[in-house]
Amino acid sequence: MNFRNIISAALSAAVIFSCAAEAQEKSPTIVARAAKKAKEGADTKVGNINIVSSTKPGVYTYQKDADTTPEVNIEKNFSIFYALTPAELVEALRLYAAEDFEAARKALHTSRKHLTNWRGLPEGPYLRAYRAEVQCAVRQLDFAGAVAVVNDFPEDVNKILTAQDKATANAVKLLYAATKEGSISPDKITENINTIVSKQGKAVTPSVYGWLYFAQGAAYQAAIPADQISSHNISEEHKLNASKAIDAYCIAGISSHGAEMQIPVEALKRAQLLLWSMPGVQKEVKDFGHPTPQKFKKASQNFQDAVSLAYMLINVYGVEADASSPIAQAAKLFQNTKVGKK
Amino acid sequence: MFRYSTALSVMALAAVSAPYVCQAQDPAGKFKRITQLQTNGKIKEAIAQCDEMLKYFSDGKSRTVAQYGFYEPFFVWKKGELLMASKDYDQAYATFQNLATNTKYQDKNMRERARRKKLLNGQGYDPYLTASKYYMALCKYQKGVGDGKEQKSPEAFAEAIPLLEEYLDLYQGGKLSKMEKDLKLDGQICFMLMQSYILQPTPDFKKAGAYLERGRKSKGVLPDEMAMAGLSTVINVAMKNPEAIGWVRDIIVSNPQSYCLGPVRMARHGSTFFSPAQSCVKMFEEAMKAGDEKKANDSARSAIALMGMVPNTDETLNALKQMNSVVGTGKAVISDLDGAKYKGSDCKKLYENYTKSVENKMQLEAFAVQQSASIALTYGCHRLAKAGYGIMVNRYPELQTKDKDGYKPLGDKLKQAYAQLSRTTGDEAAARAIEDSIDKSQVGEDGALALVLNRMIQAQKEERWEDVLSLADEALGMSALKPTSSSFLQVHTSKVAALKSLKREQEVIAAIEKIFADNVIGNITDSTPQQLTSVDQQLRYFLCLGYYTAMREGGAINSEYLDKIQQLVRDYEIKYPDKNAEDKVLPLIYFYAVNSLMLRSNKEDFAPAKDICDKYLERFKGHDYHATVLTVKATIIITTKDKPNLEIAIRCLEEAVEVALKRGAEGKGAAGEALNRLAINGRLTFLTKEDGSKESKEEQDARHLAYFEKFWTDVDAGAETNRFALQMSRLYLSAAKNTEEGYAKAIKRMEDTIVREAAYSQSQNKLNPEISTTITALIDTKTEAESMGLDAVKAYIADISGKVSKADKSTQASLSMAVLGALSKERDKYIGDDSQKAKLDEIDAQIETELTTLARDYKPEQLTNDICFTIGENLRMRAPIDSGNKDMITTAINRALPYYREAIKRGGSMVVENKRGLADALAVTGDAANQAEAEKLYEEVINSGADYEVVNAARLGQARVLLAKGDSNAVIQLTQAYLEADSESEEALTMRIMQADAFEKLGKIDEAVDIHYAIMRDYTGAIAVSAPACEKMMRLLWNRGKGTYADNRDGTFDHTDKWVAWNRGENYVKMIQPMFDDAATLKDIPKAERDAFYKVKTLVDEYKGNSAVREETRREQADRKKYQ
Repeated sequence: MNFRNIISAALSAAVIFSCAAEAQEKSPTIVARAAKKAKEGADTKVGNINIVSSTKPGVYTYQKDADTTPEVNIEKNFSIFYALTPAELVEALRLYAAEDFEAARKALHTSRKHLTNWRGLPEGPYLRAYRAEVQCAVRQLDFAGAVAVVNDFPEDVNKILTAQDKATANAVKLLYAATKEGSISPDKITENINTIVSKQGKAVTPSVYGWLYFAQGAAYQAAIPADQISSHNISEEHKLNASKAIDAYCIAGISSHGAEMQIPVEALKRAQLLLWSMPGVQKEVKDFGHPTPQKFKKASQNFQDAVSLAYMLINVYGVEADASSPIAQAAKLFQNTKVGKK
Repeated sequence: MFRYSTALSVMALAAVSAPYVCQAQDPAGKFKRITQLQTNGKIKEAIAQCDEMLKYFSDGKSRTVAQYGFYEPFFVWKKGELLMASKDYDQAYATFQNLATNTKYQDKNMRERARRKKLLNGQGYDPYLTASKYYMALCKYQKGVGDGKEQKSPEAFAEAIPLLEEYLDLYQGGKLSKMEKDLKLDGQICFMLMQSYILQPTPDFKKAGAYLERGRKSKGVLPDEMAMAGLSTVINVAMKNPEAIGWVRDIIVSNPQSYCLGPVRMARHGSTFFSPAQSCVKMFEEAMKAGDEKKANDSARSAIALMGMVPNTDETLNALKQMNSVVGTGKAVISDLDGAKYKGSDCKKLYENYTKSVENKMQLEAFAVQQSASIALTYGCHRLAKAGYGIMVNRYPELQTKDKDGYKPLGDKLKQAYAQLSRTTGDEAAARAIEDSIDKSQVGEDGALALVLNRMIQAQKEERWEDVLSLADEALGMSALKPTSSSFLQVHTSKVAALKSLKREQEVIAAIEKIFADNVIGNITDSTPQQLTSVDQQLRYFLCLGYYTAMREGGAINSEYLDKIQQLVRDYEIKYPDKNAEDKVLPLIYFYAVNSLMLRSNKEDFAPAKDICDKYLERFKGHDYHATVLTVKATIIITTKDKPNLEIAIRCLEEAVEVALKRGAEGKGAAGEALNRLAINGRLTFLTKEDGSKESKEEQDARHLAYFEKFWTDVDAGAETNRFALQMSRLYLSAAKNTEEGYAKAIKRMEDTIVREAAYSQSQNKLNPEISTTITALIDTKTEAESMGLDAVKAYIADISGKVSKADKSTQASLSMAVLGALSKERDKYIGDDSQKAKLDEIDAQIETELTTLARDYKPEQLTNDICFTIGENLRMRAPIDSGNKDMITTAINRALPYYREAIKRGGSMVVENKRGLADALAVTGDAANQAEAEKLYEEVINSGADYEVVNAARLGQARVLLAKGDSNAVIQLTQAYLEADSESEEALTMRIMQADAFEKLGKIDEAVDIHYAIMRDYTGAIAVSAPACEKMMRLLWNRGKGTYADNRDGTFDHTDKWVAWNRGENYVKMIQPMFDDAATLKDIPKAERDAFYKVKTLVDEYKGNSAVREETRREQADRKKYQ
C-alpha cells in the first residue's frame, strides 16, 4: 500500500536514512530516491519501505554512517534522519485504528518480528508495533495475551521504553494478576497501584489509570464468592468488598472520559452487576411495584445507581442487552421511573 | 464556518497563468490587462472589459474574430471568475453554465486551434468545459455558505448538491481533463457535499456523515483541517438541530479510524471539541429536566464521544516536545498517515499553550472527567460521579478555574462534591475524612455551610432524624445561611420532615405554622416561583396532615384541629384561587377536610363536608380519591336522610364504581367500598329511568342484585382477599334468598368466601372477626331456610370445617361456636317444659362437652376478640352461681377469664365487650380484689363512649357490685342514669329492682315500695316478675307497719302500712287468679311462676287473717257507707 507521509520539504536537506529490517535495504540509491520523492511531497514508498508516520513523531536521530546498524550506535553522533515505516506496519496500525483488534494483533506481531533490527531505536517502528499490540490485547480484555507481549519485550533494549511504557507495562501485569483468580490480594494490588501512581503519576495516561483500577476492582470482586454475584445476592459479609470493587470499576469506567472505551465499558458492566447484587437491592426491585419518581427517590442509593448505570450502559455506552437480562430489567426500571416523565 | 478555498485558488491559478499576449484588439493582450485589473482589485472594470471582448466576439464576423475567436471561452471563464470575486453568484453561475452548455464552445475547430497553440499550461480550454460545471456548483455552494459578512442562503445548497454529485461522478468515471484529475479534488468535493447536506435548511446527517467519511477515504487528499472542520460543522449544526445531536457520536464512533487521534492531533483539536462537548452536556441536562429521553441520551452519547477526543496534557506535552526536538520550531510542514499537516511552529505554539495550561493548573482532561461525572450525576448514578470527582481530587489536586476575577483553585470545592458523593454512596467515614481535609478558609463561610447542609441532607436520606434536627439547628446558627436563600427554606423543611418522622406532631405543626408566620417562603429570592409554590403547597399539605393527626389524638375528635383544617382549606383557596386542576395538594387537603368532618359527624358537619366533596368533584375528576369522594358524598346524603337527593347518592356510588374500576387493580378497593354501600343502600329509592319514569320494584331488585354480581365479577374475582367480601356475602344472601336459584348461589358464594378469607387470614397470621360473624349468619340462615335438625346442622358445619385448614384455629373455633349456637337453640326449645328435662340435661351435657373441648383446643391468642368474648361468655354463664359454692363458681369463672383478658390485651374490636364480660365474671366470684377490678372495668366501659347497650350492661354489673359493697347512694345514681337511657329492657327491670333494694338499704321504704309496686303493675301479666315484686312490696310495708287509719272526710282514707300491704296483694291476686282458675291456661304457666304466685297468695291470706287488718277493713267500710 502507498501512503502519503510526513516528509517536509523544508527538511529535505537532511540525509535520509532508509532501513527495512526485512529487506535490509540500505543502498544510498534508495535513500536518495526516497529523499527526492519526499521532497516532492509525493508518495514516498521506496521498495517496501515507507517514511514513518508522525502520528507518533516519526523523525529520529540517526548515525551518519549508514553502514552501521542503528541499534549499535544509536546513542552516538546523532543527527536528523527519517525513519521509514514498513508498509505492513502501516497496515497493521490502520487495523488498530479501525479497532479490528484481532487482525491488528496478528499483523502487529508479524511486523514486530520483521522489525527486530529496529528494536533498540527509541520511538522506532518496533516500539510502535509493541505499544499497539499491548493496546489491542488489553482492549480485547485478553490480559494474559497482553502480559505475554509485555514480557516479550527484549530486555537488552528496554532502556528505550519511556516512563509511560513502563507504567503501562506495570498496569498490564496488575490486570493479569488481578483477573487470574487468587493470584493477588486486594490489599497487595492497592499497594502496587499506590506505588505506580505516586512514582509514575504523570506517565500514567487516563486510560492506563483506568486499567489500574479495573485490576483493583477485579481483585475485590475475586474475594466475593462467584455464586453470590451470579445469584444477585451478595451477603452482608462481602458487602464491603463489593462496594470497593464497584468504586474501583467506576474509576476505570470514567478515567478515560470517553476514549478507548472497551475496558471502561467492561468495568461499568461489572460495577452494575455488583450494584444489582448488593444486599437488599433485589428485595427493593421485587417490592418496587408501580414505578414513581417518589419511590425512586426513596430507594437505596445502590438501587438507584444500579438502575441508572444500567440505563446509561444501554443508552449512552451502546451496550446491547437481551430484554430478559438483569441489565435490561434494571434499565427498564430506570426508564419507567425517571426519564420520559415530565 | 469552514470556508472552502483550496480548489478555487488552484483553478484560478491555472486560469491566471494562461500565456496570452495580444495586440490591440488582440484578445491575449486584452486578457492580460483584464487579469491585471483583477489582481489590482478593479473587478468592475475587469468585468466591463470582459463584456467588451465578448460583445466583440459575438458581433464580429471579421477576420480578426475568425482568427482569434477561440479565445472567447477564456473571456467567458474570466468573466465568471470575476463575477464570483464580486460575489455575484447568480450571474457567475449563469456565465459558467453558458460555458458548460453552449454548443458554440464545443466546436471542434475552436478546440483544436486552442490545443495547437498549447495555451493554458500546455493545454487547450477543454478543461474549462468540465471545470465550469464544478464552478457552477461552487457558485451555488458559495451562495449557500456566504462569506461571513454576506447573508447565507442555505436553500442554494439544494442546487449545489446535484452539481457536485455530477462532478464527482465525472471525476470517478475518469471523464475530466488531466489538469482536473491532477488536482485530486474528490476529497474536497466530498467535503463540500458534506457541508451542503448538513447546511441546507433541513440537514441530512446521514448523507453528510457518509460524504465526510468518503472524503477521508478518497484518493484525493482531504486536508485534516478540513476533515476536522467537517466534524465541527456537524457538531455545530447538530447543536441547532437537537433531534440530530446523536449523529455527532455516530460519526465519531462508527469511524474509529478517522478519529483515532494521536496526541499531537488531539492537541490541535482538543479544545475544538471540548467546547461543543460542554454544550452537549448542557443540552443533555435540559433534556433530562424536560423529560425528553431521546434528546437526553443522544446528547449524553455525543458529549462522551467528544470528551473522548480531549487530549491528556502530559502525554501531549511529551509528544509535542519530541516533535519540536526533531522538526524544530520553523514553518516546515509535516504530515501524518491521515493527511494531517503540522508545522513546527504550530507544534511549538501548542506546546506553549499546553505548558501554560499546566502552569495555570487547568488541564483539559480533568474537566472532561468532570463533565462525564456531571452526566452520571444527572442520570442519578452517584457511584460513577463519585469516581470522576475522586479522579479530579486525587490526580488534579491543584486544578483551577478562571473567571473574570482570575484563577481560582477548585480543589476544596471538588473535595466537597467528592465527600458528598462518598456520603450518598454509603461511605460516611470517607466523606468525613475528605471534609476534614478541606481547608475551611478556602471554602469560606458558604463552603462551611454547604458542609453542614450536605451532612443534613444525607442524614435526612438515611433517616437519621435526630441528626437532621441538630444539623438543621447548626445551620440556622450560621451567618452564611441567608434568610433569602433556598437553603434557608430547605433547613426549615428538613426540620419539618425530621419532626414528622419522629412523630412529634405538635412540633411539626408549630414548625410549619412558624414558617408561614415568618413568611419564610416569601423571602426566598433564589428559587423559581414554581419551586416556591411547590414547597408552599407541600407544607400546607403537611400542616393539614399534622392537624388531622392531632385531631384524632386520644380517640375523641378534637374540634380545635378540625376547625384549623377547615380554615386551612379556606386559606389555600384564597392563596391559590385559579382552580388549577393540576394542583396536586388541594385535592388531598379537600380529602382530609372531608374526612375530618366525617369522622366527627356532628349534624352540622355534613353540609360543609358535602360542599367540599362538590368542589373536589368539580375540579379533580380522575384524581386518586375521585371514587372515594363520590362515595363520601353519597354517604352524607344517605346519612342525613336527604331524601330528595337519594337518587344522586346512588348515582354517585355507581359513578364511583366506574371511576375506580378504570384505575385497574389500584381502584378495586374503592370500587368494592362503593359497591358495598350500594349493596346496603341501593334500594333506598327508586331511580329515574331514561324515559323519565321511575323504576319498578322488580327493576330495583334486579339493579340491586346486579351490584353484587359486579362486585363478584369485577372486584372480588381472582382476589386473594377482599375486605368487603364477607359482608357482601351476607348481604347477598339476604338479597338473593327469595328465589331458589339466588339462595343456592348466595349460599355457595358465602361458603367459598368464608373458606377463602379464612385461608388468607391464616396466611397473614391475622385474625378476622368477620369470619365468625359470617359463619353464624350462614348457619342461622341455612338452619332456618332448610329447617335443619341439630344433626344436619352439625354435619353441615363439619363439612365446612373440612374445607378449612385444621391449623386455622380461629375459623375452626368459629365453627365450633356455631355448633354451640345450634345446641343453645335446641336447648331453648325445651326450656320451661318440665317433661323434657332429660333432653335438656342431655343438651346441657353436650354444651358442656363442646365448651370443654373449645377451652382445651383453642388458646385465646389463636382466636379473634369476638370469639374470645363468646367463649368467655359461654363459660362464665355456665358457672353455678345459684349453687352458692364459691369454689365451684371460681373454678368455672377462671376458665373464662383468659379469653377476656387476651382480647383486652390485644386491643381492637370487641375490647369494651370483653371488659364488660370480664367484669361480670370477676364480680360473681365474690372475691374482694376481683370485685374491685370489676368495678374499675365497669367504670372504663361506662366511660368508653361505646354503644349504650354495652354501657348499660356495664352499669348493671356495676350496680350489682356497688350494691354488694353497700354503696346504696351510688347504686341509686347509677341505676337512675341507666333507666333514663333504657327503661324497657330486661336489664332495666333488674336495675329497677336494684334501685329499690338500694332505697331499702337506706331505709327509704317509700321509694322502695313505689318501685316494687310500679314493677308489679308494669309486669302484671309476667307473673315471674310481678309476683316477686308484689311479695317484696307487701313484706316491706308489712315490716315497717307504719301509720294509723284516718278518715279524711273527703272521700279519701289514710291506711296503715299493714292494711296497704294486704290490700295491694289482695288486688294482685284477684287479677291473676282467673289465669289459675282456667285449666288450659294453668298448663302453660311454668312451675316457677306458679310457685311465685302461690307465695303471694299465701301471704295475702296470712295478712288477711291479721286482726288489725280486719278491723281496719271494717272501719273503712263503715266510713265509706257513712259518706255514701
